[in-house]
Amino acid sequence: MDIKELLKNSPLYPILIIESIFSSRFRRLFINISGVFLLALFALATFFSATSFELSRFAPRVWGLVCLGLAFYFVAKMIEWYFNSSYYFDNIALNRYHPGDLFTFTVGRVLLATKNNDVLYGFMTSAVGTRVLQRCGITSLDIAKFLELRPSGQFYKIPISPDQVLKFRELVIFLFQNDSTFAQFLADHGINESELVGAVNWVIYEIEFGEYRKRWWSSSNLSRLPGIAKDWGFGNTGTLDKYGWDLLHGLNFSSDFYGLSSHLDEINQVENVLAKQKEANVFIVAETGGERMDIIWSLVRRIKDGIAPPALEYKRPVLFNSAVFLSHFKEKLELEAELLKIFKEVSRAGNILLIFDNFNSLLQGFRTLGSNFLDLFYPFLNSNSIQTICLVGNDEFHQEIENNGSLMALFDRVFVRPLPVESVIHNLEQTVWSIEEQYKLFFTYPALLAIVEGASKYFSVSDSDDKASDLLTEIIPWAKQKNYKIIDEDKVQELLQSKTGIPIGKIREGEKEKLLGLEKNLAERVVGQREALTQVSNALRRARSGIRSEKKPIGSFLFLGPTGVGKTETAKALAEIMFGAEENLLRLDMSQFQTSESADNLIGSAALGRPGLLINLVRENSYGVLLLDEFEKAHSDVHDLFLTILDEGYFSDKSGRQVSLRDMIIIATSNAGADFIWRMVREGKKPELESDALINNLVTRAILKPELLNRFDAVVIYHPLLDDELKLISRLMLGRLAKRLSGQGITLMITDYLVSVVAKLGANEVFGARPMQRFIQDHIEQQVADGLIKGDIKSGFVISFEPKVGADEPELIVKGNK
Amino acid sequence: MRFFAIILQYLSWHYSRAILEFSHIYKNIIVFVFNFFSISILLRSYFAPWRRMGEDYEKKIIDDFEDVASTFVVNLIMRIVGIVMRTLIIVFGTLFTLLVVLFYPIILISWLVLPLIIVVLVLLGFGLLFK
Repeated sequence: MDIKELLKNSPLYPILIIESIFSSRFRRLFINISGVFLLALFALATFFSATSFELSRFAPRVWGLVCLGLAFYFVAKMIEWYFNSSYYFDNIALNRYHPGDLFTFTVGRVLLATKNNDVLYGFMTSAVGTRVLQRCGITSLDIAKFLELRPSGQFYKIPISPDQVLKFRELVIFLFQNDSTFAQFLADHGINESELVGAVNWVIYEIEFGEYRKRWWSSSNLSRLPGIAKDWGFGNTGTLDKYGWDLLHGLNFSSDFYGLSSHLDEINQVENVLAKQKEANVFIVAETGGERMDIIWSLVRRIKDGIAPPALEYKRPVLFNSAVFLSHFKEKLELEAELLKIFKEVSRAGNILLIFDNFNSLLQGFRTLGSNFLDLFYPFLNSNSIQTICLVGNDEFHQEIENNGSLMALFDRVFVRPLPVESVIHNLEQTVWSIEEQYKLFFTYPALLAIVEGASKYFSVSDSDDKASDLLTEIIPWAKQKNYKIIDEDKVQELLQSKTGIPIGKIREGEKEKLLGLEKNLAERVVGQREALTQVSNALRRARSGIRSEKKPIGSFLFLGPTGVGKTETAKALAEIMFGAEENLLRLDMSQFQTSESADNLIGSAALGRPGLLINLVRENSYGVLLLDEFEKAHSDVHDLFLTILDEGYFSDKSGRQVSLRDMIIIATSNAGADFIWRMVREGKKPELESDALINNLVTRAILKPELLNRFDAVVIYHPLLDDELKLISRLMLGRLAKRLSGQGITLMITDYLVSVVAKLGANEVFGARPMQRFIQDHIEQQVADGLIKGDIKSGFVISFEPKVGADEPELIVKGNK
Repeated sequence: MRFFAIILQYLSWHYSRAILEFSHIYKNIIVFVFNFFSISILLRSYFAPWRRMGEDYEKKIIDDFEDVASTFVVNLIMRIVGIVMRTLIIVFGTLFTLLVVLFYPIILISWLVLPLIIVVLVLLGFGLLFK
């Protein structure tokens, strides 16, 4: 099938040719400039005719030029109208088609750019194809290189048939699936099929939206200008205007192209309520302020565009600024008088849609001044003389408003569901156009995906739309500061990483070293326990390499072993090595959660009326190590809660919102099997190699359920410390003391005797190495402190500890000056 | 030959479909002008007080005739102001809309003779240029 022939036979051919030779932008520019030129010529001709000088003899010729120019101008205009007639009236601009058409206009633009029937070449060199690839983060230079190197003469039988119109999206998918070099080229740039299709949709949407806006003569575009005497039939609201914002005047963004893409159901519900004869008031309940206002803005837009139900046609939505209002008054009476004045005004005006955001805060504000807002509100609501929309959050609605029967009798309620990811992306696509235009930036489609994903993953529980827009807004000054012009996935990840401290995206050099040397780094702080450290390190490397399930915590471990053998120390070391600081260790003493209400204390409950302990911890720092000390002591309900967390990486709070722990390492410690471990040691076995026996033991004794044990990435067994390991710990701790003393100019000699005496007296079977620090404090540091106070030790002295006659503990010996 | 075919194709568009489309756009503009002056809503609220200003009778005592009368007068004035203002806009808006409507045949005729005008302009232009 010859593509040129196919094109020539298409009814789209004339406008495709006009568009390819003189783009619409060029034509408009040309017509405008020639119009100005014509006016100038006309002025010149008039001047020549009026003057009595020599010049007047040129007048007829200039008039002749005016006539020819005018004829030329009319011809240009007629071509433009002819083009527009076909382009806009047949909706070709919007890629609509007629029965019998073979392809849409955008496909025609690609086919027109083909050379030797090479459709991929046509796609990659046409303006629309280049735009798609740019949105994928591929530059014109990359395209040129690819076209130069690819094997020439690629022919495909493009899927054109008289039964089905070929659309641009289908053509691109066809090319992707049928040309392996193209698919490979995209894969080299990190683009998969769904990202390509996303970019295509975005570009088509951009073209169609732009064309729609150009049709100023369409009734929907014309109706945007409000009538001059629309408000004359309604009253003034002088007092309300002091505290309110007329949203019709605040609407500074364009009307939506295809109607409304998001929350359409909720907007319809709100409109239906507001169009009622009686009790036409509504509560909009949504998690975030952004979602609530999104509904309001959509409603305002529909009123302004004249597509709202007739009952709302002349309504004036006014957002009441409760904070400003409340801040004006200190006295209850003044406050109430002013509010009544506003209600009377609204009631008399007849066209006000009064909107209260954070309705619960307004009620609270009135209560603070000893007044009751609802008492003043009811008479007006009951008489149906005012119409209100109240915006409120989920929790606040359930806690403070829902139970008020008399209020709810006058209101309907509309719950706003969080937007699905596709809608969030779609909303961002529209926002990005204006940002790009205003700030001269360019966003790739993968960057957009990274924003949406990052927003939902790292900042939120459910309000992804709001957070994604916030993140997008944050990118602008950041990119300007860094002098970035193109925002791609890497840039978004860079910003996310700098904001959260969470390594995102590619594994960077420093992190690679950290991961590869994890055992070594851990072993510097945790003595012995080689098996345990290897197990933990392997699990974490698996996680960061991308193999781990995204829907689970980074790692989850159960550390079993006697007290004082390095379990907590491992958790601290991990927090420092993996997350940069020991402060990233979040610790929960699970022995505090032994009762049946414990799960509620952790995740909060409506009855408690406050968020849970775990939620508070995770909200403050959702990236780090969560240490659950003495895990076995927690109530079985708490264990059940962790079944979900370990499995899914999140839990739901009292309002059903998901709280993510997917960026945490969860470490549960327990010394439940310590007696069993000791028994094994006495029998000469290595407990770290007998994990099955230990787990069986715990299950048989019903200390931990098997399903919970299975949920951990690894059950890691810590063996009791051997003498040599205790000595190593003792040396480490003394080393820390020596470092502190060297700060005061005092040198502590760490002798073998000192190390072994601290290891022997400082550790015991029950508590392992834990009392060692205490021993050093009481018996070593104390003697040094006494010496310092008495003046026996001064800066520059060298000190040592020797055996004391008749006692176990060592004696301080001052060795003199350095 | 091809040039004439294009001209013919154009002219058939110019005298058929273009007129329909032009009329459609013109209708949109007339509706827009009519809505812009809010004539229908002004007619519906013709006797209403100006911006709903006025006083309430509800708390006045019937004996206090003077008070009731003054309220009546205030409200009457507000209605008169409303009527005057609305009449002004209705008259102006209607005239303007009529003007726009009347322009339709003029523009339409201009459209019909536009090809001829172009020919005349070209002939006249060359005539003047080489006079």
